[in-house]
Amino acid sequence: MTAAGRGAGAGVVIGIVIVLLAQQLGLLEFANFTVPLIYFLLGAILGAIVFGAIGLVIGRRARRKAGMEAWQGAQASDTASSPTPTTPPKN
Amino acid sequence: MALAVLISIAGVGAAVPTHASTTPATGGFTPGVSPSFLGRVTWNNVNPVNDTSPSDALPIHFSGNITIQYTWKSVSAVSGNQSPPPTFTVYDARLQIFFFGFPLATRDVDVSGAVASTGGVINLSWDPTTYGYVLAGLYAITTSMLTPTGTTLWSQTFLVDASAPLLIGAALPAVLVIIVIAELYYVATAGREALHEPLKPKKGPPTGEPETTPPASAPASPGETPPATDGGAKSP
Repeated sequence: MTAAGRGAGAGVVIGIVIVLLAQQLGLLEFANFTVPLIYFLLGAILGAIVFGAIGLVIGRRARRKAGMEAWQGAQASDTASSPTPTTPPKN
Repeated sequence: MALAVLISIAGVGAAVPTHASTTPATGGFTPGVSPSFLGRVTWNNVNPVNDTSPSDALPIHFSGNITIQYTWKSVSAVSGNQSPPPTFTVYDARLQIFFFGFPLATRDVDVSGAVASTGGVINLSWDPTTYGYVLAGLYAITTSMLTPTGTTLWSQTFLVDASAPLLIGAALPAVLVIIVIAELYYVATAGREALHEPLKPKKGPPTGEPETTPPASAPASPGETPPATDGGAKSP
């Protein structure tokens, strides 16, 4: 599963749970059946979008950081045999 | 992050408006199915007739005993009419809590030996402590008075706001907060998962991103500048 997919899946759960939590905190009333369903649907969609985007950003940052560390490791092994400085990548 | 969630939840809970309804127990009768039947209910001596919106919900605690008093009387249908008011037989006083459109709890008081009369008082005592361990929040409560055949003579729906100890002291809100924290942690660790994603093959010239051009293979000779020095994500 990609990081964005993982974030979107968690966002669906968070969106639904937040709506239920709002009811438990006295902000929403669930007396009938249809209105809570609409709240749950909206919460799930918004949660998937927001946390999917967050997961996407987190995943990209992690991969960029891992690439940077791998490059620095290679540079460290190279400079051991050559004193010539090199330019690091601009990330 | 978990601390921030708890603080924000506490802030939301603190922003819940307090109950401003001070409707006295006297008066406040509302007509039933028949305009001659007037009924009233009090929740611990407070008349919740105006508590029909979430901001006006009657604040309660699901702890201790609650006394609900049903009072009814009949009046002449036509004002100024000197004829005696009609008589009604109230056999059952009912309390129902609705959640998702379904009755979460139902309590009844049956009047033994009910006879037709022009008024009466029925007391219903209820101890909802067991609900207090599990639930909190806004709930719709319907109180009604019924005939021996089950026909509704009068009903009234109002909202109550049951508060949990320390906002999340009941089981359900506490579990919900834990789920939110767990899911936030799951999202926060998505970066670790991203490192195991297979890389998509890119078309066209190399973009120079670190993940598409592994830096470990970049510097072939000492002192060579790696291919990612152009800023990483620039395309020609």
